[in-house]
Amino acid sequence: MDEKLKPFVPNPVMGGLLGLCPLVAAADSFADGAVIGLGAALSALALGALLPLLRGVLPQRLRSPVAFILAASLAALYSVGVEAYSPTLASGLGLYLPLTAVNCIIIATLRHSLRDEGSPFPWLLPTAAGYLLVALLLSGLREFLGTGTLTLPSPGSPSAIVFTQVPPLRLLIAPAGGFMLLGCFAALYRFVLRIRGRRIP
Amino acid sequence: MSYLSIVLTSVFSANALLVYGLGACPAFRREGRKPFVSIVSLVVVNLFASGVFWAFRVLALAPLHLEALEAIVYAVVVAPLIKYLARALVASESPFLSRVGTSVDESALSCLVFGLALLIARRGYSLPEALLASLASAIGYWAAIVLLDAIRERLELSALPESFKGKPALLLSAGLMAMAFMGMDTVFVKTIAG
Repeated sequence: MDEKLKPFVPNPVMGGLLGLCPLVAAADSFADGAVIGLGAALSALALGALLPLLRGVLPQRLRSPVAFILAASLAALYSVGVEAYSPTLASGLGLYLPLTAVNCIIIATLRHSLRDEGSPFPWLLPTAAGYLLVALLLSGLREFLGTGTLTLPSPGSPSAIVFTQVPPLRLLIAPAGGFMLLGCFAALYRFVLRIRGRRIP
Repeated sequence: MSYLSIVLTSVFSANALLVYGLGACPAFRREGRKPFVSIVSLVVVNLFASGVFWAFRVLALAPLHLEALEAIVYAVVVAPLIKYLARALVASESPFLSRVGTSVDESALSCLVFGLALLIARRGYSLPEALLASLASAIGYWAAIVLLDAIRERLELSALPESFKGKPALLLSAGLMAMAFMGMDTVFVKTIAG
């Protein structure tokens, strides 16, 4: 089959601009990006596995509120897990850990899983992996260029590898830098899609 | 913090969209927004959600050291109450209120509403301060999306490289706007407004 005609799932962040909120504001170090990306991806996959089971058990009008309570419970569980793993990371991320419950990836998973009869995984797996990948790349590059370090999400207090004492682009660790770098990522993504002859989302 | 300082901080140096990234996904989508309906619905839903969430956090969660349940309280209490409020508005006879109700209903699960409620409840404000901060934050968010919409229209007429057309150029513009908003930082606001 011609590659141009093959169906593909666009990257949720660079194609659909979904789940931007924690990426631009909180993912200013590699460790933060890893925690945010992993939280959204794991919650989305867990919801994708659990929600099809609800379709057969709950009446239509109860599915949506119950699914959202399930998403909020997963976010609370993840917050507690991160707090236990590394209190420094949890306090640095602040309100963005409970906000996982309303991340656009999670809301899209809720809608997709409750609406369609089939398995959500053909759409969900590339979406969750794409979100995690962008979170890692964006946060790693922001930290590397913004502070000259790379913080690893180790237990307790995160450890930082220092590359340079003179950070080249300090602006990148601010939300303004997050928006700008994401804009460059989105442009690069469109450029690659155009070269491959794909439809741009 | 004085009331003026809370308003200036919430609109500029702690702008919900450009500093905290809250509600970023709908802000970059092309939607046929009606300015008056969107500002009224933003104010209504944020005031309501922030007030209810503030009450639960300050009166129940914080004294019992159950802050970890913030997301669950939002899902179990605040989001359903927003849905009921939206239904009441939609059921009203006024077409304007009905449109506001539809918009309120859509925002019950948005990160803007939950994020602002969380942010304001965690700042240790009194109830009037929390409501004022919520009102000012909603206005700040609305101002940011109106500016972004205006920039989007200008960008559509500009000669840009093909890959930067549309969302990438808008994200870069949002970055520049964020720099401008952050220029009015908290220390400066406290100096001029107390």
